[in-house]
Amino acid sequence: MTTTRGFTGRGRAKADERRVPPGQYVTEDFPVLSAGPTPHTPLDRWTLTLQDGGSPVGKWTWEEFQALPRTELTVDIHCVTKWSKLGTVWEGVTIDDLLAAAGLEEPPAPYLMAHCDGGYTTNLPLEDLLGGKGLVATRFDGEPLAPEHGGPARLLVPHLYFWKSAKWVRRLRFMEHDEPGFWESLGYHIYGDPWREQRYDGD
Amino acid sequence: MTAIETAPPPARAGARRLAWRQAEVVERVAETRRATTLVLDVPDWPGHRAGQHVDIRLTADDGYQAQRSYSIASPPEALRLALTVERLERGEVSPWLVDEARPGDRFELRGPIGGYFAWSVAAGGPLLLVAGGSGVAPLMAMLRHRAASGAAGRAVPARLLLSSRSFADIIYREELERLGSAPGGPGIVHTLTRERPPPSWRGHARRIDASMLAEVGFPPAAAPKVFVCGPTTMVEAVAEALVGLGHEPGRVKTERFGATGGG
Amino acid sequence: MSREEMCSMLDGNAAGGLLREVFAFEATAARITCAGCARMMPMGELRLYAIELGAILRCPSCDEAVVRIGRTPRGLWLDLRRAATIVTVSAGIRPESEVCIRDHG
Repeated sequence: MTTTRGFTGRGRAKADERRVPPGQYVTEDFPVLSAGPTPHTPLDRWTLTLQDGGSPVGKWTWEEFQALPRTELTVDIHCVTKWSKLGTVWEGVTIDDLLAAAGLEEPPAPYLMAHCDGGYTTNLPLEDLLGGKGLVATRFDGEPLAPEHGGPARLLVPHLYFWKSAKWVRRLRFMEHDEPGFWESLGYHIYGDPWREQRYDGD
Repeated sequence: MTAIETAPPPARAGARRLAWRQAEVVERVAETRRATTLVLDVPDWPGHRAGQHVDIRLTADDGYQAQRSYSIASPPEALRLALTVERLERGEVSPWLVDEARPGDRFELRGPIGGYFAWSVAAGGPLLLVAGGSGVAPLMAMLRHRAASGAAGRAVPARLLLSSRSFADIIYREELERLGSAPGGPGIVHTLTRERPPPSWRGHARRIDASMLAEVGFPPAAAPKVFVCGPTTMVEAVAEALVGLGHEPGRVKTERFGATGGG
Repeated sequence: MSREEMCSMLDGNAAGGLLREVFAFEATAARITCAGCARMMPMGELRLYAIELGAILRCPSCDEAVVRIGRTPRGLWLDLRRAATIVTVSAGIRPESEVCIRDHG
């Protein structure tokens, strides 16, 4: 692979290795990467469902969801396409608070599949969502989350590659066994830890 | 059928999968303040059809790579490959190509790509070409190929409707004028969308719409082959208008560039 | 101007290079049937997303992900389950020489 004289690519800040996972570069942008067209679900039709087996164990309309305990998180996010964005500010409802609101003292199963408007899915272990590690986020940078970034609500799981932070989330389905979601079934890593550079299946 | 995992194809003689080749910049031609044509030497170039494109790949010192696609602006008859690139404000690759690339520079290229959006004189006409901004590049390859095909080319009626932001932004303006005024040359119609045209302007001064297409284009009964290329929103509006005028959807071929920019 | 800068939707033409890595034939002209709505069209007309990770080619009528490709350093992962048929076009000009490949998935 020969290098191209004078090409440096998008402004890439020198990465602080302690803060930025291997192979990543820091960006000031917020690139949009989507597997399909941006859905535009009106808020008066939006619901979020927790599902166990065939039945819902929790369901909230937008108003009901807004009434749940809110948490603000400032985190770094890491995309598998190698950009990292530091110090992003989000607000939403933690998965802990969601389970509590559904009356679940413990998750009914160890894994979860997030289902989203537009058909996107991604799988996660519950232990990577509890303890404040996961949020259903409705605000970014002090503003309502824009549709192209996953609004009205997206999952936020910042310690994993950002494809796990599923945009336009509508349903969280508990699973007994881990199953690959949209990208995981196309060769991307089933877990996706950026610190171990788990981008692809087999990494 | 479950998802099939494929290994990278083995290199073998006669393989039809595309390989990355080395392209060397031979010449740069400033087309407008935003657009540049790069003329390239590509060893063992297999030839192409007008309308096809190439993928190019640039590599930074630290190994970072960026890959983009560009239409081939040169006709199959040309000795060298030409790409016409418009600088996008927040682009990553286009600024290098438009402002930095100079003779002697090399980058990786693979192609030709695209059997769907391609035309040759043998495919016949009439030929209706509708372009927005730098979307004119693959259609220019078609017009240059037509011009290089002598009487057979002249026998295919052809028209180009080109939408540009302003007079100064019209890519290939002088060459289009020459092509258009040659005997048997294509009909060339311009429209400007942002700036007020000069007083002597004889073209249109608005976005392409159904009535402009009806006026400028061939009637649906002539069953023209239509190629539309440019920014996504423009291409969709034009394609919809053409179908609305009665053109057969299968004969309207589209190529969408990024969501912003262009005429 | 580049087809890919600053955008998340393009058409299947921009995936032409990647499709050539997958198929031995010129795929953008090949016609594909959407398993969602049965529309048949050239692959070049499918709407392309996620070119950074591979290619998701969607039906312009119903948005079904007809072709899904994941690009990894160790190979391409291909999911054609939502494509009902793919009709290849031979290199020659005669349309009678089409070959139909049916997917039984």
